[in-house]
Amino acid sequence: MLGVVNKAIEHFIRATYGDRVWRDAAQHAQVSVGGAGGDIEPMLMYSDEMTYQLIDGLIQSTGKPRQDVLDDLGTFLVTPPHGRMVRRLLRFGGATFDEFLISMGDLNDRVALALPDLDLPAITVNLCATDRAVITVENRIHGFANVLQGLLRAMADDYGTLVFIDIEDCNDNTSEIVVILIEQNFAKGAEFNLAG
Amino acid sequence: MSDVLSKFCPFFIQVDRTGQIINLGPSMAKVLGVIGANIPADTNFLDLFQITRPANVKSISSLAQGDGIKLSLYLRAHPDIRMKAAVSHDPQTDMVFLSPSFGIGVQAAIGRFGLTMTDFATTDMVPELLYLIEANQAAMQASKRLTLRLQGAKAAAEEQAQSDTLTGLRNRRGLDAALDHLITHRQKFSIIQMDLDRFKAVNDTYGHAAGDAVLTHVAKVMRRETRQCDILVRLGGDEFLIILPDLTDAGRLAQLGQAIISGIETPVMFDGEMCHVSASLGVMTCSDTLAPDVNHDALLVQVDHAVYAAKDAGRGCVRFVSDLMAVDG
Repeated sequence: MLGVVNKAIEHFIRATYGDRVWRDAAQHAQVSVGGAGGDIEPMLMYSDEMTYQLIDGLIQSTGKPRQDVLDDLGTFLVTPPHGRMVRRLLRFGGATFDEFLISMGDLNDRVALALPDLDLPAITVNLCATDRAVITVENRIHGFANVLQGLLRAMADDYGTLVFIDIEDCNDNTSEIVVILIEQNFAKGAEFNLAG
Repeated sequence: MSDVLSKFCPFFIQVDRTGQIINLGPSMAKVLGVIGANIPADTNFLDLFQITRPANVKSISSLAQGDGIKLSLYLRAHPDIRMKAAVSHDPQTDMVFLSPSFGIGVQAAIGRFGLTMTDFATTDMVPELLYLIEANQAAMQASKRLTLRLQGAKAAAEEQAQSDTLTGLRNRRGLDAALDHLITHRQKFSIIQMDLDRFKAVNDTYGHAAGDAVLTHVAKVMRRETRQCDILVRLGGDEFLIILPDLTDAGRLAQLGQAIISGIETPVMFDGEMCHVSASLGVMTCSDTLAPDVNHDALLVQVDHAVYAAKDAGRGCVRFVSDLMAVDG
């Protein structure tokens, strides 16, 4: 896994639960926390196991349910101030939430343009009706669907769209996230300035 | 027709034969600050835009003849934002259609005119382009930070290094560590310090590369003539030092000194030139009763005196600190 994933998890844990929990999680994953800026380098590769161990360490330290933790991580990724950049890049996907949802099908190609080493699981988006989309996610990274669920919910909020999101169907290879659009223009939504 | 154009090409401009702007796409209206479809009656295209290429397009009629050409132009009110446009002339209505775009300067244009995603045609690549620019900037920044951190780490590692990069011998930091170890463990030892003779001449005559070859040769001789447990140091320049644990026998030290000198005196071939140097050696023996906090510099100054005695005695020889005492005394 590219270090940027572990770095994001570090930011998430420190901002949400504090440095003590981060030290617990890092110790569990055998990550040293000595250096001034932490010791995970965002642009270097690490084993997938390290990422899983960080999450396991976090769950052990806080006693929170796994699904909640992963969901929160997804929300954190796109919530300013830490998630400002990711949120912004995702907003290029479309002017409205349904356009954005469709653009999630291109997420891998988009990510590959900027970070070829960040090899995310394949995502396909199916608009079954005007108010219903099914997002199928490869289960290559454990818990990825839960993270994506939290991220989608936060993005819906950002667009001012009222949605119901749930993981409905999981098998060994894929998970299905069902998104039901209740009201596209429910709230005003956050500003998105193309010029940055 | 203009409904279709507005969707496919929201920046389009329709101009009649006199240069009067007849119709505008909604996004171009935003750029020009035109509210709704109310184009002021005397709005002439050539008053608003300056065409820079091709040079021969100076009038609407030459524009009409240029069907299919690629135009470079800018708004007179915003000369820094460059645009390009395809031109099409409809012979039936005698109208000229232009489809301006901002090209690579699109980021500046978006900021200037407050454009949003909906101002671009749905299939326009602009959002992807902007995405790419920003994503790459973020990735580049992360890579740059990594490089800076690695550079810092490298500098710190060099700072903490205990060996000399040219010869692989220990440096001053390595010497201090070795002396500390011997003194705190109450071991007797000897120090041989040596200065090269005629080294400056080699450097000046044949250049620094030749000088480096000589220094490497000296290190090789030191390694060959000493034991595994001896500590070999390059203090910098042409100053070397050997620490010999448990060896304080004057006879053996003198023998070793002579062996090193004759090794160093073997000429070094560099670029077809014979480089001759020699060495002056000072030797000091230290008992196992040195105080743990003894000043290293104070020790080394004494050996230094012996080196100068060797130089005074005609170079290429060995002098002992103990002999100096006898002379001084």
